[in-house]
Amino acid sequence: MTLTPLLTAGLETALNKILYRDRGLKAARQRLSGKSLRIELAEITQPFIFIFSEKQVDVLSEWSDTPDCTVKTRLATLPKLRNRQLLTGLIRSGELEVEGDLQVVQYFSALIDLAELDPAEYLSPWMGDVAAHGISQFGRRGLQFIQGDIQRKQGYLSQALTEEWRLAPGALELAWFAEEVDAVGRSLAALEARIDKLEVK
Amino acid sequence: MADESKDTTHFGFRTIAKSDKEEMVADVFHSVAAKYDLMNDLMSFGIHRIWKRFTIDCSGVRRGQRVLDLAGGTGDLTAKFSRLVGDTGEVVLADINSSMLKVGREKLRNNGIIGNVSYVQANAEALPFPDNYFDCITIAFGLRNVTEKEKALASMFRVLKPGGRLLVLEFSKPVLEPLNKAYDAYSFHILPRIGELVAKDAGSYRYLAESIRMHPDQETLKQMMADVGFENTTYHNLTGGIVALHRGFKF
Repeated sequence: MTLTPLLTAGLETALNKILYRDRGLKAARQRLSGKSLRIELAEITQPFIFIFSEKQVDVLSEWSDTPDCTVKTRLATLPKLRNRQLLTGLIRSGELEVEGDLQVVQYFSALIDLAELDPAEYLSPWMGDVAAHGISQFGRRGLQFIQGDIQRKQGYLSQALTEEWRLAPGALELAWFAEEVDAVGRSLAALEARIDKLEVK
Repeated sequence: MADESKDTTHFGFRTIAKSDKEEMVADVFHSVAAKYDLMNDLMSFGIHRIWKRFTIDCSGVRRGQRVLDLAGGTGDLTAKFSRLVGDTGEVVLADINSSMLKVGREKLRNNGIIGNVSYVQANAEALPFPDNYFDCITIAFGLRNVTEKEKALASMFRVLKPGGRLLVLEFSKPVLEPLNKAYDAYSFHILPRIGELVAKDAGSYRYLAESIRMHPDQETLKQMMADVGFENTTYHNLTGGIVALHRGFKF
């Protein structure tokens, strides 16, 4: 009991902050209002039920009514839901199982697609547009710099391992080795075939 | 003087005449109504939201059902239920205290929750509803303040539809001894201080702490529910038994 209500509470607050604050999303919300969506994740035994209403979305972990739409998927597939074009592809490839009203998922996917996840949006009421934009730009650049730095360090490490210390083979060496092994396998097969032929005679 | 025990009940740790309890409880809630939500968050560190969320998850309320939120106070559960039952359902927020009901109505209307919610000032011991009327009844942190708990439970049993369920969310007895000690220290020494600072009323919060100690523990309440006719009665301890959610069905 301890974790699930915390999880649903957190999810509910986050979704309400992101999806139900922006006035621009009203049309997208309107289409969902009164609908319910049940999401079952393979990694978590507890399902999540979203109940959309005009002013907010409620997240439950148990509901005895049949929801308008049930979606079965894995955690890794969830971010792809944001892309509406991928939706039919996901359903066809079996990554997303949908029962009931498909439109609810489409509307939900449209809604999260439209939602802007810009931190500046949330900072600006507190500190003004200019400062908020500056801070979010600074944060984004910082993040980019750190990501680039990590990538460069990874490159250094891999080069040091393969070239300098020779602890591990490089990618080309590995490919060459695999090919050699294949070649040995092939010549062995040929030899076996020849021996078989000789034995038959 | 020997037969006085029949006409007396407890008000916190004090023994008072039964006829007085209703009024004294009413005074407590008239006094705290305005700061009720803020105090709940402060006193429970916000955990009461988790308890209420768990209650909603256990309620199994569907679209189009009729729900009674008894002693609903400022309408936390009612707001959720009103969205769960949808336009075809109905939620009744009942409270014996007019101040609490007013605060609740104000809050819900400001949040745009109208249409399927009605407000009734009612005593839990004699509910003004027909028999077999509600699909679900919840009473969160209210049973403790009722003078005659058996009578209230029987009255709830009467208005519940066959197949309906009663959920009682109420303070109970912590199951772990160290937790019990810490909880006692907190509720007798710190709670009244917070009450004095925020709501300017230490007495009401002292009553709160005392009334929790006088409330029947998990097993006793379960038995009380079974005695008035509820079936399949079970309880869940929440946060180590500080609060327990009792559930009973009418068949």
